[in-house]
Amino acid sequence: MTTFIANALIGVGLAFITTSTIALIIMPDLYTRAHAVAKSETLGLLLIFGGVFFRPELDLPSAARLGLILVFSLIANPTAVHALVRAATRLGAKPWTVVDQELADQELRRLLP
Amino acid sequence: MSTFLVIALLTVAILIAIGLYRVWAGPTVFDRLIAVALVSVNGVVVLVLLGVALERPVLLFDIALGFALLAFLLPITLGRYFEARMAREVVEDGVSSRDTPTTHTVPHGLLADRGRAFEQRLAQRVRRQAAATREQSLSRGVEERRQVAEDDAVRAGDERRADERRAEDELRAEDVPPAEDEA
Amino acid sequence: MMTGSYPSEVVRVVCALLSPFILLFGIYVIAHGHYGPGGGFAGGVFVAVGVILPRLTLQEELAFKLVPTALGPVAAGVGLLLFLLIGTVPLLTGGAFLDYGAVEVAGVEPARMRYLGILVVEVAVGLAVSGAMLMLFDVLVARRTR
Repeated sequence: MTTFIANALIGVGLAFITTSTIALIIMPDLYTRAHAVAKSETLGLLLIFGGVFFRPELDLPSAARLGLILVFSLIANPTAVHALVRAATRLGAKPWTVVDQELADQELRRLLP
Repeated sequence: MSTFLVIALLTVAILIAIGLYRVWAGPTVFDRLIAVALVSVNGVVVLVLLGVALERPVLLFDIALGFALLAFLLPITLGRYFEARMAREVVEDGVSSRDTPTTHTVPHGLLADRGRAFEQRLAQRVRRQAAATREQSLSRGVEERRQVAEDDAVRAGDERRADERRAEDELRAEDVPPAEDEA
Repeated sequence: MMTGSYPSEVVRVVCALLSPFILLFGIYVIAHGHYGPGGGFAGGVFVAVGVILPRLTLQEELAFKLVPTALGPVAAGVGLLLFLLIGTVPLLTGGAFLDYGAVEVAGVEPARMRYLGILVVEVAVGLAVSGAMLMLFDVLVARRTR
């Protein structure tokens, strides 16, 4: 039973990590890719480690180490992506837009009094 | 070793390969770095699952923790480097750096030497291109040469700037990352 | 000269929180390196990372007051000297270099002596590696020794 719970959690976590990696490939610009890596990846990591906690192979010392890895990754992974994206923003990375924002503003100014 | 864990390990390995595509093809440095962050997280997952699958969890979890710690240092260091670069550009453009609460300047030392070498090679490249253009215009006919001379006289400043930009682009393509000059 | 702290509050707080634990993990890796993964080299790198992270993120005065620049060369030299000293002791009692079993201490069998000798050598290597990494960082950011 515990093995079944563990495998189910690991499977859901793998689904999240797969989503994140596919998003890294198909998303159009830096910010959407960073979003995928920072959030979906961290959630998948949490689910996988939570599943590994239920595996029968784990004893107390290894579970303590796994808890350390979990807490550290939970803090460090979003921080790392935050540092990178902050530097990219300050260096002038442009977000991807569907419409030309200046043209849209001009159009709005023409339409609205 | 259960079949499920083997399948999970293979899945994460394939995901690492897919993430490495973005490291290879990312248009900017930051795309590559974010892909590196994802690949390192997937590496931690591989180590944890491998520790369970091989039934030696204590050994491989220690390695996973160390890997996660070292993978955390890379984005912080490079973020620091690029933020310092931004600070210099903001000061040069005369824009207020109000949104950066603390002062920080460009690191120098070995990086400064590298930046000077980069600028010297840039100047060499520009000189070589100018010489090549002169030879080309000499080998053409007289009429054409006069035309070229006129054109050169008209857009002298503009063309020199374009030459510099082209050479700089080529150099940057060869030589990533472009380094800083002195602070 | 790198002056000032990292401009992002998040990174500053997280690094200030995590760097002591990274240092502790480095000491753990050094201390159990003779019967687990890691050892002097990996543990020394972790200790150096725990010292370098505050230098990258905190105010310069504070970070260099916490761990002064002079500590890098001193730790590297002390580690090297300790390694050579421990390695040479068995030579005096007729053994080979680093052969601690040859040292005879009353009440301690040779296996135990080997265990303790490896432990001291791991600590010495960890000191040397962390000191050298720290020195490399300080040279790269052109921090002069005061």
